[in-house]
Amino acid sequence: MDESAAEIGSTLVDLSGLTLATVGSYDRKALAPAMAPLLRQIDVPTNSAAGHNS
Amino acid sequence: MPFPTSPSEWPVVADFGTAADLPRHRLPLTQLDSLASGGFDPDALGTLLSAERSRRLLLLRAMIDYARAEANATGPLLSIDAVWNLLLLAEAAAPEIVAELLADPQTGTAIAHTLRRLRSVVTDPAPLWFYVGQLHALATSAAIRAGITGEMTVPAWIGDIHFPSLGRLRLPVDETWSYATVTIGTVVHVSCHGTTVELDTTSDSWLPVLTLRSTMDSQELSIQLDDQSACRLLNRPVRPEPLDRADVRRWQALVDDAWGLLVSDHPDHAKSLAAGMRSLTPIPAVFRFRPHSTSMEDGFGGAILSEPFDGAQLAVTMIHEYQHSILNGIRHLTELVDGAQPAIGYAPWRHDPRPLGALIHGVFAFTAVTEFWAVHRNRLTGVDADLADFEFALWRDQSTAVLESIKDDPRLTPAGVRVVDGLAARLDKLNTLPVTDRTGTLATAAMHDHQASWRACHLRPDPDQVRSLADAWSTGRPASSVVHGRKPTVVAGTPQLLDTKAALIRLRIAGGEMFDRLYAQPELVAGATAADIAYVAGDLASAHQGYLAELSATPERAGAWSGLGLTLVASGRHEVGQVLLAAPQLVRAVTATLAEGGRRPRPDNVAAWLVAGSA
Repeated sequence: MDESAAEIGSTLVDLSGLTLATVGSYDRKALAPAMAPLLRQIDVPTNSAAGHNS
Repeated sequence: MPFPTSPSEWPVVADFGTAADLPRHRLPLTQLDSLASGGFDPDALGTLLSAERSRRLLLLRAMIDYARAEANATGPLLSIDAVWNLLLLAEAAAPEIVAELLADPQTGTAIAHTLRRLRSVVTDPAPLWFYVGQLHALATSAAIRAGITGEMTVPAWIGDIHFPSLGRLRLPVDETWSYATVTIGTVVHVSCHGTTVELDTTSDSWLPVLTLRSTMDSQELSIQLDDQSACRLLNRPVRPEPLDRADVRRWQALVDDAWGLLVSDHPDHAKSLAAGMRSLTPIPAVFRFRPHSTSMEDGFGGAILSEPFDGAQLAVTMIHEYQHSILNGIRHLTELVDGAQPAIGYAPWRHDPRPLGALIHGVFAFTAVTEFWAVHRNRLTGVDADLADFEFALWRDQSTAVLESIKDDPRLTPAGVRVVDGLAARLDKLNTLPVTDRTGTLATAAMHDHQASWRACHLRPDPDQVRSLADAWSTGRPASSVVHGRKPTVVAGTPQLLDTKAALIRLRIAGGEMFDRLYAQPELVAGATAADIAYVAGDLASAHQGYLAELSATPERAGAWSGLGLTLVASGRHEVGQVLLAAPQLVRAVTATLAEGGRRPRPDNVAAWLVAGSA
């Protein structure tokens, strides 16, 4: 995590204002490093174990 | 008119070299702090919603890539390129419609589950193409709404065809998994297994998507009541379960009542919910004091919940589940925990051991729940006020206890520390508020009961210590002759209900004849025994005898160990009772070891011997 005095830098790619067409045009290999942590998250979602994530 | 299907026709509007060149989201610390404070900060919520959109688009892109690489991902449906191009056309024509569809919580859960299937992380009864085809259905809905003409194929499940945001069409098709061709023009035709119908939203075969709206003081809540989408529950597809008109009227009344409460008494939550809560998936009503509710990490703004008892229960459940969405939104921007997270933590709102991240989730949600009851109890009188006071005291004390157990955990990241600090400040404030003596005592009993029964269920003491204590008992030596053992280990014990006495206490506070009926029908509250009912009713002699009988016949019942401890404390045998509450796992293990040798002692005698040995 890149934490400066005022904000936290996320690893999540910012697609604000971009369209599906733009997202579809990105090179797959270039996107792969940004995808990897997301895929890890969805493989073990916090809700999936017992139906309640408290 | 067929849609363009060749990737060469896709517009290339962006080019970059590596992932490092892509912009990243940022979370201002002031926004993180305001989210942890529980207040409404439109900028902070905007940051979360923007990040959720980015995450959803990236996962959609990943799904497209995986589906392209999987030979049979679309089964009998049109290709993934065809559906992608339809989405692009719809977006070009009506971007707001596609944005709305993509933001739907069920779209998020469908994409995530489809990716898990594409990556062979999970299995379930539906064919892979049924899940991939949810995107076909979404694109078709978008095209219909955007006024695009053409053809698309969509999945059908025993004749049920779901059009996201529009409704469900039922066709007379018996085949479990099939597909329909949708021809979109000035009218929409749907063909499946030789049957072609015009999409008629007034026909009996059409089940429209339900949207409940409520307005209070010019603030509107608009929320989908999802009784039909296949991915509305967790981890498995579900068929539509249409609510009837009476159901919908009840839900509308509940939403009206809840929204009125939220706007008038909890304005920050009302503003946040109006901006971010999008759908409720109803499941049937259950016992008033054991409502079910769930949220989905990949479905921001969605909740699954049993039909609430009243508007207050709906309001507090919406607050609760939405807090999970908020915290998941934060976690999607920055991790709160770094390092391994074995599921060994005590969570008073669960029956099973939980990892650190889940404990933070729980405190985050239940702190907001406590704040709700802190306010709500002030508008009530009589038993309703007592019940609200009980909820306030119980969740406050439990949240405080869990926060205390995690606040110094070295695995918390700097962001995790800030969130925990924010929660601590809120709980500090709540801990200054008074509770009536009666409800405070009852809440403490419920808290101790859950803690002790959790220990009896999931803790295993040092086996060397247990053997030594059993030897000492057998040879007439004091327990003090045995050195202390290692810390108990946490195991996933046999699942059992640990909140039974809390449910009975609520029933007792509520009054009425149902509690009296329990004497003849203890099964009215799942998991309740005659001893539990006697304890909650204040019949301590019967409770004592009942728990001893239970522990002789079914020593694995965790609630009997906690019940015996509570009964002894209430009977004035504080020290002995406290041993059973603090270390039921040790008394249980020593008693079991002695029973193996044919000398099963009474558990309260073992507890008394341990007390004498520690004096």
